[in-house]
Amino acid sequence: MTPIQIKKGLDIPLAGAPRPEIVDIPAAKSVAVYQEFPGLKAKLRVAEGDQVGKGSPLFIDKKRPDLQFCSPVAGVVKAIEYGARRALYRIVIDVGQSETPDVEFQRYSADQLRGVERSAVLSQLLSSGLFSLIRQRPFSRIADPEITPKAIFVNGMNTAPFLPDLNVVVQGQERAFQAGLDLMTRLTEGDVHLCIAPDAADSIKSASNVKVHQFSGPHPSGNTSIHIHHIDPMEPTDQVWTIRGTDLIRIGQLFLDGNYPDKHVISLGGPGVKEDARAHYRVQIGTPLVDLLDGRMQDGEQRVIKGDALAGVAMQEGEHVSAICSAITILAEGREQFFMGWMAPGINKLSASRAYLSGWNGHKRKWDLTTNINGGYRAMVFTGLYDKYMPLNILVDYLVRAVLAHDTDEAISLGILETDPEDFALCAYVCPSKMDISGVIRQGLEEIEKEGI
Amino acid sequence: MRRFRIGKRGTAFFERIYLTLLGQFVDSHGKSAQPPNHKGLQCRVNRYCQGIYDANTD
Repeated sequence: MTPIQIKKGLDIPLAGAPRPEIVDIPAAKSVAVYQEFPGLKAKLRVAEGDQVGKGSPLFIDKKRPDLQFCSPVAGVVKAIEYGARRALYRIVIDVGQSETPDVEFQRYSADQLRGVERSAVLSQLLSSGLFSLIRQRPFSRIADPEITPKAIFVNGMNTAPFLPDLNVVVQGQERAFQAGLDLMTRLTEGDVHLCIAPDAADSIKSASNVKVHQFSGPHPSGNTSIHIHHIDPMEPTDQVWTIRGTDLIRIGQLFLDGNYPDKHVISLGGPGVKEDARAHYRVQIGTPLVDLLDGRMQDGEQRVIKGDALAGVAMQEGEHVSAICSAITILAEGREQFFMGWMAPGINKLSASRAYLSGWNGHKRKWDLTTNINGGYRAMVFTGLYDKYMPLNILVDYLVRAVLAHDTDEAISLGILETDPEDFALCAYVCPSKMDISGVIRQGLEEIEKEGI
Repeated sequence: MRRFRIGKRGTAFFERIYLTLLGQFVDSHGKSAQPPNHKGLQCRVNRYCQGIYDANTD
């Protein structure tokens, strides 16, 4: 194991960390399966009123009909909802008796998994829909099963507040985790890299058949881009696959048990969650948000965020916990305005900048931060501030300017293909001009993807 | 005669002060070209990151 120390970055002292224990949420009465993959065109396999079994295909990818997305429960399709341009948004299923039997997948023993054919692994992953958990860099889209990636990176650590702790999720699932790693080795001719934190459990550290790397340091040392950059940097023509360690457990369960893995563990944290409710939860995929949050939120106006507090997006009322949602963070809505706030000494306002008094010792205590943006949009000023929080060898100011100028060649030469918008979330957090830097990078990546490299 | 040079960092510093003063003036008169973002959710909803932000501002 090679320890890699990251120096640049920042750990946000946000209050409300989830406890390292898993609480089971009772099965839901209705679930929803979302089409939440940008660029994917869905073709329906069911209609309203159809009966489905656990693992029955609900929709497929038009471009790759092998890739199916399955129902996590048995029941009746209650509603099919569409979003903008009549694109599929979600399918709501009432849980109950169904004449359609549950789908049984091929079951393997742990020993068999080490020698299983690549085509067999791909076939089962595609038909179960779990292949969508594997992402391909550049662009972080669902991986292309036609290509053999240069390497596969498994993210076994998280530094953003508050993503689930793999040490907690893997408890009791060590076999499935190792099975998932074994399966990844069948998908590439290169290496499978497992990146872990220094405090990883022994069962994770002792993973076999893969290269284990230990990363330490402040956020974003847990981001996959940082791992790729330090272990096996990408050339513009390279393609690597990435997967979260928590998702790997579901893949392992599918191959070991032969049943569709219908549950996953998510973390619930943030200052907006009641103190005794901050924990990890095992929920059925597609569980209504209201079932999870009932009685667990603080009073007052709160914003529910899917993902971490730095790069997450707000959820609306009536949404469900989707398959790729790994964390829910709740923050109080902050709409206060402070007269001449930019001139205040900043004792009670958290800032990384030492122009504020909290910048000197504020990181020693936990803060109940809100969603207040703490300022207004300003022109982009070339200060080099972002580079202090970017461990990648990338000039953020130049890259952002190249993207804004639609200079895709320049953006590629500055290394945009190695990154993901989440890597710039910390830059957006510290930006005094309150620029949406992650949004700019996403726009740049989409433009390059459209034009071709 | 030797010319006074302030360099890139100096330029950035003065640019920052200028923009800060300009920004305060524009905001105080409600004529900012950018949509104001003090209203919370409504103006934040299109941002990539919809969580927390540093208190630092200019």
